Amino acid sequence: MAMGTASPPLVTILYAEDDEDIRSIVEITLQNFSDFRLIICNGGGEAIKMADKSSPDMVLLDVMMPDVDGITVLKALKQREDFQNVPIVLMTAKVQKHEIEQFKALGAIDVIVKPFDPITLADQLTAIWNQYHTGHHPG
Amino acid sequence: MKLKNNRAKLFLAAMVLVFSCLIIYGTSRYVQIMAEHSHAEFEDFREKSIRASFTIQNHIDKEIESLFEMRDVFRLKGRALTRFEFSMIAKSILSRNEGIHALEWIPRVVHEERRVYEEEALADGIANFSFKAISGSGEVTLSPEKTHYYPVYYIEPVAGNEAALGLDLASSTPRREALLKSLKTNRAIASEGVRLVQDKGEQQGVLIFLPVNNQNRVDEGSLLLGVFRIRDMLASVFSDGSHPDLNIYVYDLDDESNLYPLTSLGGEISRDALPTIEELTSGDNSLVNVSTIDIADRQWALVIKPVIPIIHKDAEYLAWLVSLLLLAVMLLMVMYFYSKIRHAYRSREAHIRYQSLSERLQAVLDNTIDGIITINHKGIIQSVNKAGLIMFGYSSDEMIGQNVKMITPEPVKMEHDSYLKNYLGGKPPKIIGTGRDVEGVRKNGVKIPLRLGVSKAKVNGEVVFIGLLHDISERKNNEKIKDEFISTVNHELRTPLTSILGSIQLIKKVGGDELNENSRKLLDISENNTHRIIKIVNDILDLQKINSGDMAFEFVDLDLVALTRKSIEECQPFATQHHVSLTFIPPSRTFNVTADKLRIEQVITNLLSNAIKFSPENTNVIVQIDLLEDNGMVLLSVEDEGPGISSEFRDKLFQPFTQAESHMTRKVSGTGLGLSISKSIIEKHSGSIGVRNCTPAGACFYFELPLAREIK
Repeated sequence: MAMGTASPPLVTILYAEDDEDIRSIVEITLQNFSDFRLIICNGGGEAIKMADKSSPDMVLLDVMMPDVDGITVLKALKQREDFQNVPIVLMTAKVQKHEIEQFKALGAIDVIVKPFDPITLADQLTAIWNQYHTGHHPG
Repeated sequence: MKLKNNRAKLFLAAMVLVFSCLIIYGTSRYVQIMAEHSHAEFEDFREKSIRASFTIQNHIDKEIESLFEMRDVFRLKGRALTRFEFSMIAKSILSRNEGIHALEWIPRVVHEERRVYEEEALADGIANFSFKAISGSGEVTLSPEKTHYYPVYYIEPVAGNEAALGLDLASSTPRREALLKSLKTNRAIASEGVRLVQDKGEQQGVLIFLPVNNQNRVDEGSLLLGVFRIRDMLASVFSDGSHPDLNIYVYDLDDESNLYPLTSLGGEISRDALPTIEELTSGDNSLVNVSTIDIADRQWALVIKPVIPIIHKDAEYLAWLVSLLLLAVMLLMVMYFYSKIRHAYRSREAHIRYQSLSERLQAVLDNTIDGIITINHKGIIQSVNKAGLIMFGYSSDEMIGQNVKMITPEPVKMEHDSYLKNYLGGKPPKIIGTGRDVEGVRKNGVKIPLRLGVSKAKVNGEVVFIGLLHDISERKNNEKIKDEFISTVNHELRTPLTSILGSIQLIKKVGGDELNENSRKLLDISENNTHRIIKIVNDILDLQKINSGDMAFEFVDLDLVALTRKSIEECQPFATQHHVSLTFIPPSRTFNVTADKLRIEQVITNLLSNAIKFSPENTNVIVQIDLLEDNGMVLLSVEDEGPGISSEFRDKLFQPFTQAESHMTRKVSGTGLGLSISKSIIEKHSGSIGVRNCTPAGACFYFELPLAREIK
C-alpha cells in the first residue's frame, strides 16, 4: 500500500545505478511505497540506450558510475529535444553545497544524497515531480 | 697574481736604482769635467792676466823711460834746448813710443820773465802764444798774474796740441800737485786722470812729470812732461788695441775721489755702465784678476775679466740641481706608473672578484628550482632566471621588457595593475608578502598552477618587486589524486552503507508485524550503528576537507543570536529526550559576524549536543552570548552541569577521536570528531575555541568569533 502523498499514476522513471544492492533497495522501496514504474539500467551507457527506446517521464541517475557516469548521461539527455521537459534527478554521495549547486547548474532538477532514507524516497520523488509540473522548478 | 705584482715591483725598483745611478754618475762626471775645464780655464785666464799686467807694466815703464832719456839729453846739453832741438829729440822718442801722446817741456817762469817767454814763443812761430790757465769751471783762459808760472813751453807734436801751449800747469790742481811732487821728490810722478785740454775726446789722460833738475842752471826747476792718453797708452800694448780674451779695467788707486775706471779695454760695456772696482770684484759669476801696476809713483789697478765668462761654482750647483730635478721627475714617473700598475692590478682583482661573485649569484639564480622574476613599479619584467624561462617556455628576450601580465591568465591580467597600484599607493597589499596559489600561463597557452611569493626591494633607488614562483603542479596533482581518493573512499563507503541502511529500514517497514520483539531490537541496533558509521564517514570527510583547505566556506554577515536560537530549537527534542533543559542568555545588543551559516550552526549544534549528552538528568544547559567590544570579538559559551573535564583531557579534547571519560554509566554516543571539526571550523573563521571548568561544576565550552566590520 502506498504511503504518503499519492504518486502520479503511470509515471515512468528511467533509473540508472551500477550497484546491484542499491538497485534492489530502490526497486523494493518504490514498488512498496509508490506507483512509479521503473526502467532499471545498470550503468550510464545502458541508460542512454534506453533513453532511445523509451520515453520516461523522469530520470533518476546515480552520479558515480564506472564507464559512463551520471553527469555524462545528464548532459547527453539535456541535449536531446525529447528530454527537454523531462526532470532529471541525481543521486550521489557528494554532499557539499557547491557540488550540489554544480549539479543543478548542469540541469539536474534535484539531488538526493546517499545514504538516503528508502522510506521517504518515494515521497521525495513525488514531491519533486509535483513541483516540476506546477511550474516551480526547485533550485 | 701576487707573484706578478711583486715581480713588477721588483722590476720598477731595479729600474729606479739603475736610472738613479746613471743620473748621479752622469751629473758627477759632468760636474767633474766642468770643474776641470773651468779650472784649466781659470789657470789659463790667470796666466793671461798676469802676463798682460806684466806686459802693460813693462810697456809703461818703457815709455816713462823715454822721459828719462829726454832728461839726459837736457842734462848733457848743458844749456837749454831750443824749441827745434826739443822737437827733434821728442819726435825720435815719440816714434819709438806710440803710447806717448805728447812730450812737453815745462820751464819755471817768474812773473817778470813772462813777457820775455811769450815774445820768444811768438818769435818761434807759435801764433797767439800766451800764458793760459784752467779756470775753476774748466775753461782755458788767459792766465792771471802770478808770482811764477809753469807753462807748457815746448810740445811735440805741436799739431793737435796747440791748445796746450802756454797752459800754466800750476793752474790746475791735479797737475800742480803732480808737478810739485815731482819737483820735490825729484822723481817721475804721474798725475791723476785728467781731461786733456787739447783733447775733445772722451779719453782720460795722465801726465807724468819728471824734473830736469839741473842745478845752477837757467833751466833749474823745469820739468819734462809726458802726456799719455790712457786708453791709447794701454791699447798700444796689444797689437789689436786690446787683448782678445781679456777685458781690462784700469783704476787709479791713489785717486780716492774717482771710483770709476780711467779706461777699459775690450768688453762691450757702454760708457754709462762703467763699473767701480767694487762692482767688478764683488762676487758674481765670472772670475776676476786684479793686479797693480806702478806708474810713476802711482798705483793703478788692472782689473781683468775674461771675455768669455768662466763657468763657476754656480754652474756646478746648477748641474746638481738639474740632476736632482731629473731624479725627482724620474721618481714621479715611477710613482705614476707604479700607481697605474697597482690600480690596474687592483681593478683587475676587483673585477675578478666581482666577476666571480656575479657568476656565483648568477649560478645560484640559474640553478634554483623556483622561478625568480623581478618587475618594476609599472609591471615591466626586468629579469627572469633560468627556471622562470623554462617555467613559462619563453626566451629571455621575449620576456624582459614586457609587462608581467603576459604570464598571467585572463581573469587575473586585468587585476594585476590594480594590485600594483594598491601596493604603491600604500594600501594593504593583496598579494605582496603572502604566499598564495595562483595560475600562470605558458607560451603555449597551457595554464600552470604556481605558488607565488612577492617581496619588495629598492635597487638603485627604484622600487622592484621580486616574485618567487614555485610550480605546484605536482602538489595540485597530488591534491587532485587525494581528492579523488577521498571521493572514491567516500563513495565506496557510502554505497554499501546506503544498501545496509536501506535494507534495514525496509525490513522494519515491510516486515512490520512479522517481526518479533527481539528481531526488531536487533534491527534497531543495526540501524543505529549504521547511522553512526555514516556520521563518522561524514565527519572524517568534513575534517579532511577543512584541514586541507578544501572546504569552501561561504562567509556572509550573520546574525549569531538568531542562528543560536535556531540551533537550540533544533536540539530541543534531543534535550527533552535526555531530560535536560536549555536556556539562552542573549547579549546586550544586536550585531553581526562574518561567518559560514551552515558551519557555525554545525559548531553550535556540536557543543549543544555534547552538553546535553554529558548533563545529568534534570539539569540545565546555559547558552550565553557576550560581546567583547574591546577586542572586537563575540563570545558564545555552552555550560553544562556535568562532570566537567579533567585537566589531562582538556588539551586533547579537540583532537580527533578523543572523548573525555565519563563517570556516567550511560554510554555517550558520538564520533569523537565533533570537537576537532568544530575547532577547524572556528579557526578558519579567525576565531578560537576552548573549554574551561565552570563553577561550581560542569564544563564550559566556548568559542570566539570576530565581529563583522561595521560599514561606516
